[in-house]
Amino acid sequence: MSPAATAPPAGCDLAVTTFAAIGTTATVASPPAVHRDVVGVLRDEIRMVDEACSRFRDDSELAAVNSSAGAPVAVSGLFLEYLEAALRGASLTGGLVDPTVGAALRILGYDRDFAAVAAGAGGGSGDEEPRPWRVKAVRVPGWHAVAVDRRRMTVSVPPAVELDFGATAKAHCADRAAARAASLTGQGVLVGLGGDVAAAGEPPPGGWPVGIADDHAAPAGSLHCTVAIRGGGLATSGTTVRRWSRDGVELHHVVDPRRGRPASVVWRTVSVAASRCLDANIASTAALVLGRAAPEWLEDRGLPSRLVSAEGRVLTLGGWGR
Amino acid sequence: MGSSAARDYGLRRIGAATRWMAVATLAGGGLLSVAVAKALPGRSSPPASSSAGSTAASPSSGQASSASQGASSAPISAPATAPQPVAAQPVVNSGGS
Repeated sequence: MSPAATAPPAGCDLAVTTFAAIGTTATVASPPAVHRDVVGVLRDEIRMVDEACSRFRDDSELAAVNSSAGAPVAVSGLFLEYLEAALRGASLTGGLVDPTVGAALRILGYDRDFAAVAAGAGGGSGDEEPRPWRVKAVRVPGWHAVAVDRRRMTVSVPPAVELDFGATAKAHCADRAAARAASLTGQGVLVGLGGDVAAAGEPPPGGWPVGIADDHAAPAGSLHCTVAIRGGGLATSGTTVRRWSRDGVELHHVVDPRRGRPASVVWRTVSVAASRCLDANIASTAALVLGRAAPEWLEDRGLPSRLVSAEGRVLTLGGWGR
Repeated sequence: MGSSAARDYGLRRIGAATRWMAVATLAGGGLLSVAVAKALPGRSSPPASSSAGSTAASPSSGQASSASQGASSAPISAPATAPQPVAAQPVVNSGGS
């Protein structure tokens, strides 16, 4: 898809570019004078994360690790950095956000680029004869199974363990792109990658306006609200997008590692702000998995949050403005 | 004591002295090694550099380690200012994907 420029917010002298990338949408905003360079940085970061961490590219480093049958695999510094980001998610959440869910996702049917998964799901046309199929729980080995040799720069996972960085890679990529672009240009930059938003540098007067929605690609009329952020990260995780059906059973992509199956839907959408987008996304994903225990977990960490229940009830915490 | 007995006695004493010297040499060498190791600690080589812009901590280790040893455990922190409602048109949306 070619880049699409959208109108800047009223009163702000900003250039905004949106384009399709890694199965989702990338958006970047910055002062017009540096926008070309900022867009270039984001494209470069997206290319690098795709080459290193894609689960759907046979030539990615992640694919090499997943197919190594337990042997150590030499990896790049960038891959190690994304692995560390994923392990941070597991460490901070006691394994609720775990990178070893790859096999569970594959067995549940999320085994290729999501556009192909959705296209192959039948779309619930109603023509199929319903079959009694139960979601099979898949044991998630847990992040402690990952062995990292930081000196030799190798990673190994036991046979049959498959890594997936889906819960953290986009957010970390947004953090990296925003920080690098702001450092390069000396200007404020906002990056959105599939709903994971990172800000770096000096924000515009009044902050960066960010729409909150169940689906990051929702049209303006479907937004829940618009909030301003001045820095750090804002991430939203949800169970209404990236859904597919298998033999008539509706599934979604947020796996509860404790059960090896999609998390129970207590909250359909959780938005969290943190000092960086990676941490915001770790917290919003953990909240979906925690279900009813999520508000206490988020409050204990003092994180501004907005939770929407499966029935549409809204709960705000941690100073999130209403 | 005859000359033969005196000779055997002398050989036994020489053998005992040799064994004691060997033990003392080994013990002294060990003690010297410990002293040198304490006085001149070794240095590890720096970790291999990661790509530009890398921010993750990567402590160097000569051996394979479990994942938990490398995962950054700095707690999640809130942003300096919490999101506040605004009437402006958004430049980007945060939502599921």
